[in-house]
Amino acid sequence: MNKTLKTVLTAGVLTVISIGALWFAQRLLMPKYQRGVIEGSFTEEYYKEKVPHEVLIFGDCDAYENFSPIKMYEDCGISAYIRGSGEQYIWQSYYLLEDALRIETPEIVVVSVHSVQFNEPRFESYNRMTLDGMQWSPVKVDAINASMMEGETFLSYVFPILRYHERWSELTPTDWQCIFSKEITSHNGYYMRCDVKPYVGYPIQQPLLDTEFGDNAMYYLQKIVDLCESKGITLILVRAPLEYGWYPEWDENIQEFADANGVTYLNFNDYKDEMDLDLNTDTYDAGIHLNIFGAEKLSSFFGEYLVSNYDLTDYREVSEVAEVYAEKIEFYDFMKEDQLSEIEQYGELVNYGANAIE
Amino acid sequence: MKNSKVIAALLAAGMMFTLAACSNEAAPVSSDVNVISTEAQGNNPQQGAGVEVTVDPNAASTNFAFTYEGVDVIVGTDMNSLVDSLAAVAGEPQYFEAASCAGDGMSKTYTYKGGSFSISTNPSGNSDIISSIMLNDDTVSTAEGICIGSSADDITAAYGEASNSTETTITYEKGSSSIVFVLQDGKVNNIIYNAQF
Repeated sequence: MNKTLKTVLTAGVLTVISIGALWFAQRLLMPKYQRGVIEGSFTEEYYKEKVPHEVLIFGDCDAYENFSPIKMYEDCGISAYIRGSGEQYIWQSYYLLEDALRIETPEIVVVSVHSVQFNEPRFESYNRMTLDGMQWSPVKVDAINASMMEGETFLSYVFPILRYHERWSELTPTDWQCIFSKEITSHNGYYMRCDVKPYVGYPIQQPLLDTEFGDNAMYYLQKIVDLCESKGITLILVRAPLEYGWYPEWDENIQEFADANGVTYLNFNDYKDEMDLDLNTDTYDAGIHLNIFGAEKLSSFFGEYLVSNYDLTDYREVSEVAEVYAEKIEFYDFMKEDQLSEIEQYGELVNYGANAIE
Repeated sequence: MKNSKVIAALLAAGMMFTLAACSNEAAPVSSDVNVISTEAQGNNPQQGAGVEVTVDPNAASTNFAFTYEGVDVIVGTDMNSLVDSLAAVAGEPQYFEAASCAGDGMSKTYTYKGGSFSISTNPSGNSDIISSIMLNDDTVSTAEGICIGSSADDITAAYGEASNSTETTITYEKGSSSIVFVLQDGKVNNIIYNAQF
């Protein structure tokens, strides 16, 4: 072997080792979102789905903490999935919709309008939670460009190690356990909480100084309308049955927008009695989000609404889908039982929610 | 062999450069990206409840202060040192806390005297930094004597030229704080102290 060939081979091997080492380091250092704060896992979990979805739900916690797709399936045979994560902005919902349309075309798209109140990104870390898990495509490029805050770089989304290299000193056992594979944490995008903290009243809200939504937020809401229209998808705008952090003026704006675009808007605050919602028992954080009991009531109600008004497949009758959902229901019931037993034993959740942060 | 040593050195340097190349990246929100302090569903849309908290070390001396019965409440400072002294003069508050959509730490709201004034905080480490103070009725007033029902002229007389004003708001800025007077029919309807994190 001549000297030049030897040098080339050595360089090749060293390059492969270096790239492998960097790839390993990146996998290790990226947050896993497997315990405590699990919302950062939600975006990527969608790609592991094995069944079609006729209903896709988009939004921030207003969507992923308040709707239970498993309940919608159990009660109505609907196959639904929530594409949501912490403080997911409306432009991110738009791009996640575009991203989902690369994979499937649902009959109905449901968008929570709660995030329309934000006209620009507020938290770099929420950007990462929503965007890091997206599969690479031109849509992700657009989503990143629409979301980056001052000080962020596109390159750090391409090579997340640039962002997370400082986590060396903070690695947890979960980081090591989940280098190569991560567990599913949500239930078709739903974040389950079984604890109860009754509503006792909200603090006085600050007055709205400007009742209009921002131009950027409305631009992307309009893009969602246009995209659904172009694909023949029915769009439904929703608000969870919680009054916290919402203003009547905003509701009027959304209703006007919905009317102008021929879109249905359902503010579920108007249907609390019909769904028998009781914020003494149906919320885990004093009325900011629903717990599983409230989410199941909302999901039963919404599921009935959907099957009554739209021609949806009853997937309980489709054996290959029903088989997958049987496993999903098993996981759902297991987590529900596990949380309830923790609450009975310790008086609070221990391995879920903030107490589980390592 | 000399060549391969050079190549190895270059690759190693490349790796080091990659790891070090992030000096211009946004600083992590906290010690871990998982931990985010923010209020769940914007109770304070204008100022942005749950803003990432950057504590202003000069807040106590440079910001607007609201004084109740001799207790100074200053946005941008730690609420924990005031809880007891405020309770002593204003009674026990109504307390509300909100976790973030995805994170730990609690944003808190203390409402005193049945709603006369309320104080909101955002977590920063072990501290609860006062993000806003709202005066809601005419039993309390600003240090400059403005209360609910005061006129725009009263405000100008007390504070001078505004930093910013609209048909319904008059805003003054000081240090890393602002005070917003919300007007209705020419009279003050709300008074809000905000921290500018």
